[in-house]
Amino acid sequence: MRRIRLTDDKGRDGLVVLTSPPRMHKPDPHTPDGGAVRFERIVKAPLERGYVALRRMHTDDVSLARALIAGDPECDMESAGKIAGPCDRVWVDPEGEPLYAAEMVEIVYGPDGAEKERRTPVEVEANVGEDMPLRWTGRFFTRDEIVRRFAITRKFQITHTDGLTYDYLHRLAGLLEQKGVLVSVGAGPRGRDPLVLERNGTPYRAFLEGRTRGDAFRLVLHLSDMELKRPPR
Amino acid sequence: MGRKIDIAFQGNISRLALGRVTRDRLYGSARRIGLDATGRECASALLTRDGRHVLGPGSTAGIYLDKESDVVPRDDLVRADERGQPVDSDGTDPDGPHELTGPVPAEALLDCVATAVHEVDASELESTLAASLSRGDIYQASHVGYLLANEHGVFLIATKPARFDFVGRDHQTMCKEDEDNEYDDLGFEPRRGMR
Repeated sequence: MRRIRLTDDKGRDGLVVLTSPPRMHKPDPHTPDGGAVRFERIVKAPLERGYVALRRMHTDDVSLARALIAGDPECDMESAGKIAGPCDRVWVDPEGEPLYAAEMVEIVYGPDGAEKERRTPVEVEANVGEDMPLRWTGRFFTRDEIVRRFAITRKFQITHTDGLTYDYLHRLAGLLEQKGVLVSVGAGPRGRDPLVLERNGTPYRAFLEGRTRGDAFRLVLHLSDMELKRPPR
Repeated sequence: MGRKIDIAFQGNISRLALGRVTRDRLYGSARRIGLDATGRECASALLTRDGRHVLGPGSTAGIYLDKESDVVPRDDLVRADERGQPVDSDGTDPDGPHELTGPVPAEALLDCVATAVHEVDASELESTLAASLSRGDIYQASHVGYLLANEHGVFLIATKPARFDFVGRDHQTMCKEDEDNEYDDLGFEPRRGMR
């Protein structure tokens, strides 16, 4: 649940709430007799017992094979099977040593999976929030156009925070229902930018759908991060 | 085209070849890596809290333990509902052909979110179905999702329901910031491809 600012067709904005869909209960795993189970991550073998580490000690295949047969160097009886517990994520160099500092590089791949460039990472800030209104673009789409052009991969309900925003949102929902369309909403000063909900998050195109039922309303923000297209061959 | 599924339409069964369409395959992707002081590419790993072990990819395994801390093989696990009663199926695809129903309105698809998009080899579609899809009809495939066509081809969209209730003036919204990390629950995950 998150507060955001939303502008309407007249350029007025209101502070409203973004809510995720109700969760569908997933059946929990149990023992065959119905007992509870818990999930744990266990250690198989630490990095210093891995292939790369062993290869450094035994440079030729024969000596490595002999070592594996003779002494099971790939097994660490102290750690194998232990519950790993909470861990910290670190960078390790090719020798398996943790780094105190790493230089970050962003690798960009094309649709074919080939590397296109390496660059210094650019941080992309979120552009949705209380101080960054989502803007009504005035570009309308029918429901049929939306489902045929875009894969809707996220959606949120927009609800009011008080009586004033209730009136504001109910009017918007009614307006969209009357037209029978969804409106594109965008971020940025002119509403042209895709929505980035979190720092370095996936950019989404957003479409607002509204319906009313008497005094009640339903405003849904449909988000899409991809079009319905065939990938380039 | 990798996976194949059987579709039943008006008594005829067609086997369709599906190819997964992802954002990465449409637009490309980006990932971040760390370099050491000499410019060598480094790998991401886990460091245990006691500092004794560095665990690289493939160094760990996930297991289920019962209350006596004995391992429960995954094949022995049973699924139970909210009341702890065993359920026969976890809702995954059953074997056998998926029955197509429809045409359904676009609203049906808008009441769901897409969990995966597959391109369909249109040459394998039964002719009546292909004609209906080309006219703009949308069909629901049981336990799978929705089948539709546009100018780029035929797509099967795997979905899960995401329907909201109408809200009235007295609707109470409880905004508790940062409680239980709900922000993550909204699916605002880092950009795909980031490591």
